[in-house]
Amino acid sequence: MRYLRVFLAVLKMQTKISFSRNLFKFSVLIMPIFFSTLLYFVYDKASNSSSSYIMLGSAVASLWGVTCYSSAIEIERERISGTLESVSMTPIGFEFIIFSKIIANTVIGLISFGVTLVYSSLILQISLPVYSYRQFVLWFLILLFSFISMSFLLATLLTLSGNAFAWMSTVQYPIYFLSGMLFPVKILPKWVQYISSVIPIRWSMESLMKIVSGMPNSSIIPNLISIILSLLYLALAHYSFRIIEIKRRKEGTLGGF
Amino acid sequence: MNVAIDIHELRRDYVIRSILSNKIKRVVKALNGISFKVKKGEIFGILGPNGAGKTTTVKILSTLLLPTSGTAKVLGYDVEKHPIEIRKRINLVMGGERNLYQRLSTLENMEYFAELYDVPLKIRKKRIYDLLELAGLQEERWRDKVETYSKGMKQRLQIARGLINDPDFLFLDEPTIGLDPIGARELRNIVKKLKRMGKTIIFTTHYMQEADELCDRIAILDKGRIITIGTPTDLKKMHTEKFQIELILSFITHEHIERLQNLKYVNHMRTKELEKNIHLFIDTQACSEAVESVFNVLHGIPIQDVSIKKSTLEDVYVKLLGGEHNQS
Ligand SMILES: Nc1ncnc2c1ncn2[C@@H]1O[C@H](COP(=O)(O)OP(=O)(O)OP(=O)(O)O)[C@@H](O)[C@H]1O
Ligand SMILES: [Mg+2]
Repeated sequence: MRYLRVFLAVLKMQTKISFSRNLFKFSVLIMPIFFSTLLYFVYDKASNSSSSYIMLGSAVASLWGVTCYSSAIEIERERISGTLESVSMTPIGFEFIIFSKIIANTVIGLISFGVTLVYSSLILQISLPVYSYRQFVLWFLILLFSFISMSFLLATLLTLSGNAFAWMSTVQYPIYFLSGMLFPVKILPKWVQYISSVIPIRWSMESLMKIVSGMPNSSIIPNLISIILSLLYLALAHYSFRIIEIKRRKEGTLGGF
Repeated sequence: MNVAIDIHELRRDYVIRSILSNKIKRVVKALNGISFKVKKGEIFGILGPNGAGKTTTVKILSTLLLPTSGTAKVLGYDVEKHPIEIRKRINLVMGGERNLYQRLSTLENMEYFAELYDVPLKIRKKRIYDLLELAGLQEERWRDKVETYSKGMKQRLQIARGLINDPDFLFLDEPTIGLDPIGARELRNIVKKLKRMGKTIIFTTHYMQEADELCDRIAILDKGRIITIGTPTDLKKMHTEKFQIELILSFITHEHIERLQNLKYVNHMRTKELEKNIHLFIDTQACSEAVESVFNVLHGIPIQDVSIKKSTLEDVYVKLLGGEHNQS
């Protein structure tokens, strides 16, 4: 209950701060439109699988953009403005606040997701033959879980690196290629596919893409892999946080300037 | 025991590494083994030149930094072992404009931190209003974004935020920096009010008068070491003559000067000619006795002006640190 209230406070605060930035409004509301328009012209509109990339692929890609960007940058921002110190002095603990922030960013990112769906169905006139909506929602939640765990780990590692701004794009963009959001992973070289296979998003995307192509898909294996990898990422992030906490207090590098 | 803070042989090194090779470039010894105790309900001041280690001390006590060695206990809890217990009972206010969400309003900042500190919902609204009132932030600005505030308003908001969890113990790191004289005085009044409310306060400052006015006890820190510690009165007694008497005369003879210098209560005397008048500066520890005997000696010489100055904390500070620092 206590944690839920803190989460809601973080969500409220994060939404207010984010939307007071023009760049953020742009990346939440306008970027998705670019994404799906781009894919619209790249793909042949006739086939089922291409419409799923134009609509769902670009929606997921926009969601990833918002979640990853704000999660990585937000910690750095708080570090610079000094609020990181004030926040990490509160008894609730720095880790839970960052975790809440990342869920909050994912929730805010859903706006982008929605914008893409509305835009591609109303303006681009694309329709998705969704096989089962119940399955879709369930698996989409698993995808969100993989987003949250990945962003959490990234935010942690970027904070550890002490140079989040520089690393953020280095990490954000490869995910677009490696996770099967914009095109199937199968067309990548074999060795790159191995890298892909440790990214939980890739497995969730595989399942989701099948459902929205109108194919029956009862295999839960990819989703299971996604969940297991996500849990692994969360554990890793939790462990990194221990290191961050010690590093922060021991070296004094993560506090102020 | 009524000990709020117990520091023993506290040391803190900062290791500065090279960005590329991660090799140790330099080790800054910010604290070189300091020990002191602070009683509950006390206002304890930490003074010292830039880089003396004041902020480092405050950050260790407020669980933001770990000691390199030595122990620090706050309200009985060890900063290394029980940071969470400490965090519930303390708060820290840093001078300046940082540590606030610039894009949120005063009320939003306060509500957010109230949630993080788990301030009960029933009393939350009232507490926020009371604190903002106490800090003296005008109500009509409470809904404006912090980025539109002046420095002093931000500082007031920081104070209010620092009290949101009703801490037993408050750390103030240069709270009056950048405030106008009236603002600084109001802040000092707030600190006094907090003391009356029973809070223990550690604060750092560069303003001697402020320390003198507020602090029950003072530690002067230099290069990570405590040079002296005591009540402002003790420090003044220990480290300087207590009074300086200045007399302005139209003339004086050598004989008079000699007799004055030999007086029992005159510790030191200096003369200076200024605008055709003679100024006498007499240092003494017993003011009234000195004045009486000096006036006896000067019988018959017209005295134009007399002033008596009590030595200030600043004199102590300059005496302890001044010479050394001018050289380095
Ligand atoms: N993060 C850090 N990394 C390396 N050195 C540091 C760090 N923080 C402080 N120092 C060094 O530690 C010493 C003490 O610094 P500290 O900030 O405690 O001084 P201070 O007494 O608060 O000074 P001021 O009056 O300027 O605020 C200084 O030499 C400073 O350069
Ligand atoms: Mg300082």
